[in-house]
Amino acid sequence: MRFTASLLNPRMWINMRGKAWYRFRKRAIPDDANFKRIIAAGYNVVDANEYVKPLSPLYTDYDSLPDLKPTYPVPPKNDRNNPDWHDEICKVFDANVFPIEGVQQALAFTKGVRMSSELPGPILERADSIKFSEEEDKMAQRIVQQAFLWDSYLEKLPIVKHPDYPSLNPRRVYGIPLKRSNEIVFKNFLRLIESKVSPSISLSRMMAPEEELRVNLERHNSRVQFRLTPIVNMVSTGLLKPILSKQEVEDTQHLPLTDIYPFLSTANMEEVNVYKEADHFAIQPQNKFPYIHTSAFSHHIPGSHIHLHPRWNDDRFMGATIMTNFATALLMAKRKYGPEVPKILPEPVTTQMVHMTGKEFQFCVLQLNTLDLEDSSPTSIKNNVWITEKIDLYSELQNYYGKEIFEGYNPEILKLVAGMYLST
Amino acid sequence: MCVSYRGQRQVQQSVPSREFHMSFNQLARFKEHMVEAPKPGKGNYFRRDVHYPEKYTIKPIPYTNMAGGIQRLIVFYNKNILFVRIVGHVVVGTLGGGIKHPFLWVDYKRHVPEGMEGPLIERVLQIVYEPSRTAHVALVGYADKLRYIIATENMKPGDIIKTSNEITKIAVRANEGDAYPLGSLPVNTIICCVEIHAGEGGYFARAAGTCCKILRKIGQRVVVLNAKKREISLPQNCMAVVGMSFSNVSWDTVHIGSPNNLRRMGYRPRSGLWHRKTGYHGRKLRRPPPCEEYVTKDQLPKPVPRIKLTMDPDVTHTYFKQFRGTY
Repeated sequence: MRFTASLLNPRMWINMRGKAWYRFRKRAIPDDANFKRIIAAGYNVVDANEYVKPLSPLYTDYDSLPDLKPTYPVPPKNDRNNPDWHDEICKVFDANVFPIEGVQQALAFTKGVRMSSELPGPILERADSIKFSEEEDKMAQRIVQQAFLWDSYLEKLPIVKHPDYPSLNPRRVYGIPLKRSNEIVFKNFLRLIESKVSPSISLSRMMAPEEELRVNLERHNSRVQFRLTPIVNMVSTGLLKPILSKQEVEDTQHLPLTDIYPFLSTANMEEVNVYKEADHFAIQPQNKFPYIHTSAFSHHIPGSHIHLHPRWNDDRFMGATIMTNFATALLMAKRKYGPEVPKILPEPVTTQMVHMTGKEFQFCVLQLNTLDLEDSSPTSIKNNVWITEKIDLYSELQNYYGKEIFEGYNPEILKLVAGMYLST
Repeated sequence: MCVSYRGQRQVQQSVPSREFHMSFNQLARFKEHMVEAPKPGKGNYFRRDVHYPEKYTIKPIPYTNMAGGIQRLIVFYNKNILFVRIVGHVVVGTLGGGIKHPFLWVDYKRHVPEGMEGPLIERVLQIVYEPSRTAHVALVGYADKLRYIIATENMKPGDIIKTSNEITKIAVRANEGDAYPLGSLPVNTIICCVEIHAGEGGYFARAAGTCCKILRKIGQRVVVLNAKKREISLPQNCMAVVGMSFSNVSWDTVHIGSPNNLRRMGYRPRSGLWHRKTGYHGRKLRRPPPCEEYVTKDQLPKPVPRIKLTMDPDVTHTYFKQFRGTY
């Protein structure tokens, strides 16, 4: 830029010279009176940029292009204009939701009674009947290492923040997401077990893909909806037979119901106006494998697969497993008896479930005897729940500066999965 | 001395030296002149601007740091085009920066919901440390609903809390954490989170370690001693929380430790220059002011309508014509 008289004015303050530089460096073409004279004389005046544009090789005439619409439409917002808007509120049980009172709230919601801290006897007997050789044990250990160490799929994981130092932002690490490693472990365990089992059992089962479940219910005069996505859904030709006979169910009538005064069992559920009223399950009833046998859920929040709300604890985790197992059992009851299920089921419905956090496993079995959940009289029929504590798959498994450390493998989990697989 | 520029004569204009000095040399963050400071109790909060949603939630609420300033919208036309711009200036120059913490929406209203008979019973679930305020916050719930309230000194998870609307003739023996109207509490109880106007939420004694005290009752009004030791007269409908003081009593005595900690709290450095102290500074010994009455708009005396006496102008002209020249 040239030093003009405007900059060399000695009356200007010293600091203004830099500001004048910024003011004068980009000079625009001024509107002189000469253009008006030329136009008045009858000549055609064209802007220089418009004349130069078409001659450049990078010119694109946007006006002549056709109107391109996106291949997929923009999803509607959760406003009143949404086609699924309802004025009545619906309470949603999601992967983010936990029962605030834990196991007590889940048992009050499902009108359930906890039978023992271990799985029922028949499943444990079947688990002991299968014996894995040394090679198969090594294969199981390799499955675990593949899921957490050797898998070649990498993603940028979110930041793990320390609650006491919220301003520290460490570098984001590349690693295997938790959902994928849980999937690998469970699916390959099932394949290992299938190879040892007779084809009459293995051909009556199918592994269904992951898709969202939706089940509706009325509880405490409000609508409740379960929206859950299992990672693996094992589906079979026939429903599971009940574990307790009718006589044994009547013997459990005297057990007390839980009371969580002043809370209701629908506390801490999300309240939502946009929802679909119908149930949804990807596999149709005309399919060859219409009934759920076992379902596996992974404890990760969609979108941030490591982070969980700091208020999750063991008690609330256990309550969430009971609620999800109840949802699958409800779905199967509606499939068998139609949309209007009788209050006391003529034949009880059982489902099995596995809840995984990567390192920890939790197994649950639920037998649905009644759907009369509002009746809180002490001598009514109740639903039965068998749920274990958290069991560790391993004690230490990590890649520590190039060294792979793998210690404390627990073979009990593969046995329990086999016991669940063999139940009919 | 004048210098000609482009053939025109220009005279050096006189500029106030202080403004000229500050604007070019010191680059201050705020303007000392031409700024209207708000009156105490009725001003803006210059630290953060919270974007409250329509409905109450437990989830943390987003906010923007204002760094000691105000923002306002400007709408103007220019060549038939409508412009909308956000414009602001700094009012407090020593605020700014700081770690952003999750801001929780605290419910200051302790009322029985409509349609409910009898007292409201809630249970305390958890006590949460919230850095955007001095006191701790308690997660509390009943039936379907969960909310945050300010925790009293001895609150623990598992406690049961009561609120009731009734004004009883005989005074109530209240436990810590309960909420009653002032008319049903005995004299000499220590209370917190006192309402001024019934139904609007707690106003006095919300910070950590603060409390009020009931002194006497006069008819339908109750005289309360403020946290700053001033007497206040309130209607007996106003709710108050019973308790020695709010949690985190020793927040006053915590040692900050380093200037970096102050920056993390959201304070910017001061100028470091020596300022002469005026009559505004220092401790003042005055007699205690009289009792302050808080009164709603309905209770204020209504303005008397002005009565206009008018006469026909022709009549006044003819009547006062005889007095012309005498006054």
